[in-house]
Amino acid sequence: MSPQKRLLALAAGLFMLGVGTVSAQDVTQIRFGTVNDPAVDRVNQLLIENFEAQHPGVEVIVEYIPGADLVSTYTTQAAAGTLPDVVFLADLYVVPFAQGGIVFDMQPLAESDESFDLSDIYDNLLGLSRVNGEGLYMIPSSYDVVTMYYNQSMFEEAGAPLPSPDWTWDDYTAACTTILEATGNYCFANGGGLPTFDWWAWMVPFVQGYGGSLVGEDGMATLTTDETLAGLQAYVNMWTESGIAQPLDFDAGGNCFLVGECATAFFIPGFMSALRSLEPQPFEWNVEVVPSHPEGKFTGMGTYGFAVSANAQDPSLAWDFVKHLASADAQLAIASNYAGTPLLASLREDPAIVNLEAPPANITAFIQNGENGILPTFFPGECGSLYAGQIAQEIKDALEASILGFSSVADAMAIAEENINRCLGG
Amino acid sequence: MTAIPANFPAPKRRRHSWRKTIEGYLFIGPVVLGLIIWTFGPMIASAYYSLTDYRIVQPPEFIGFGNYIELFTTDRLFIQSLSVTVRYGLMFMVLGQIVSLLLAVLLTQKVRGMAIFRTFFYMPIIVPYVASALLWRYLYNKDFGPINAVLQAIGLDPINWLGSPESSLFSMVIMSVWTGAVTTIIYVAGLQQIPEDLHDAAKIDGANAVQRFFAVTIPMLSPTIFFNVVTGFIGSFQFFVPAFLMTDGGPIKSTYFYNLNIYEKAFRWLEMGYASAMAWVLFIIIMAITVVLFRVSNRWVYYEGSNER
Repeated sequence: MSPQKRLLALAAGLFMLGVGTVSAQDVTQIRFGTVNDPAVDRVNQLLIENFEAQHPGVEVIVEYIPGADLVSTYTTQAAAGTLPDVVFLADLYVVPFAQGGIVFDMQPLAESDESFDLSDIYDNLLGLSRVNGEGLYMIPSSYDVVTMYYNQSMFEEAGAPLPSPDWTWDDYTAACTTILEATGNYCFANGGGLPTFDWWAWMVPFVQGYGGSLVGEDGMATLTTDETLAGLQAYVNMWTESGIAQPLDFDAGGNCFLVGECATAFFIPGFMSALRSLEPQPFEWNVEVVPSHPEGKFTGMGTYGFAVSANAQDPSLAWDFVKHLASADAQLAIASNYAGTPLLASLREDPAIVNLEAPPANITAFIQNGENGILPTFFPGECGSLYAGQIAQEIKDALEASILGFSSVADAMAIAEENINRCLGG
Repeated sequence: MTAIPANFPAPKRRRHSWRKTIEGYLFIGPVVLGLIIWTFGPMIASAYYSLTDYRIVQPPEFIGFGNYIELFTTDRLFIQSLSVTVRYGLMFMVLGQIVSLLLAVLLTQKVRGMAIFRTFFYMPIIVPYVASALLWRYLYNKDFGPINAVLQAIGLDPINWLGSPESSLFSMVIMSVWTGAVTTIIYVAGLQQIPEDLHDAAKIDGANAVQRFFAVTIPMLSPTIFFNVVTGFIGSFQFFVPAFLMTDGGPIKSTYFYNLNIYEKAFRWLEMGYASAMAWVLFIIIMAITVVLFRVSNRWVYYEGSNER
């Protein structure tokens, strides 16, 4: 073969290779942005397996994002228009991601999909996926209502009565005082792997439980009404008066409840898997619905989930991926792994859930407690929320000053209210 | 003025070598390019963003000096974080320089095994910053930290090092002094440059060790002290990692450093425009104080061989 012919053959080969490459790029792909976390890995796998079975021609590209980098990664990707088709998020990100144009409103997709029954998902939980009651920006993974975990061994050792469904917070405080005096252990675990004292899901139920509200009808902060202050004072009293809450500077060397130095933890159902993974089980534990406030039972909610991103190449294909999370199969799989409680009302009394092996012996408490679940207070404007920004900052600072005894609750909240309202009013 | 003799050969005019010029530019090119792309570019961008309301996911909206006005008029955390940073800087400058200088004096004594001592004191530098922050968080633990264990063993009350607003900032200063081995090493190098003759002459004049230290060592070491003060000051204004890892600015914002405030505004609240304005204010503060330090240095820094003080 002459050199010219060889060159021609080489060029033809390269051309064919190029054609082949172009063909490969034409294969439909779906990019799935998620976190690499033991609590989420099983759910990731479920979604991928189901999608691949339904769409054999579509390749799922998984892009793991460190949980701590979620916001910075998504925001920069959104600015560049390169978000994955499906994104992992949590309730605290719903409002900023929706307002920031990172996630797609899936409400029209959900309503037009005959295979998907949005009405079967607990309505109060869906509130976490909406912006002030509007839209659908996250399919939640589980009915994650904050429920009381208790160290049964510690209660029995101290001679304190075990929690019951009809407990009030006064009953709780009395039992915890008994434990504190008998064992020196605290009751209300916070920080050290659990949320910190300013978590809305602990604090706002106290406010509502005393008939208060953090925001008025005019959209301005109302931190100093008698009812709101009574609720906040009752919350702060766990540190300052009865001393049953884990002090802010008490380092238990990790999660105070997990290491057996706090008698209770108010947390979501997914915490079960962490507790059950302790081998051997260091103490007996169980769960119970939250105690009552003067105005009734209230508790917070917090969950992660998935959404179709604003940059999805084919939103309906991405919806096919996401919606499986709310299917009976996926929900039963999550629950059987102790990673959550089914978010479908139709599974409320499913034997596969009710008869799950103990601990916890009282697993139905999670579902019963769901009726008490409330949403985070929504603040209008651009001053932040109870999760982040100036509003969260001001309330956190006021609570911290009150808990550490540097200010009365009334004085601290008056400063916070003034600062928040200056921002909201401006 | 000296006259040039008429028959003195005129100096050969050196031929301009384009080749050398190009080589020179090629050598400095990567550095200059890096500075333009990675330093000046972002600086210009942040200067623009500081004049905008920019929350990353939406295009920046020009608001003039709105961010700066808000900073100086309504943002209580701006003053709080600046105050924390300045107080930390002053404490660290005084304590850090004194401890480092005293250690350096000890490390220049003629005793056996000095190399081992120097290695020992340099070791904190080898420990990664994050690891040392976590290590100190453990050391400072109120309930089971080794420092409080020692205090209790000798009959003293334990101290709530990081959990109390009264002690948390000073705890950060102590940790920073421990990690300030570079300052000590620079002082050691400076001390070794002081001619022995000066000490000998002072001895003959009857000066004792303390007098020699203040009359000979300190003046001769003043350029080194000045260098350490300027770099230490700039470093203290950039303090971030330990506060982020150990206290997250608490308790009661007692360790809420300026850089932690910038980080929070930029990456937790996503207010990039506002954070950019804060960064520029910090830059101007550091520049202003550095200029003042250089101006004042004429009065106390002695450069050997120079007519100026």
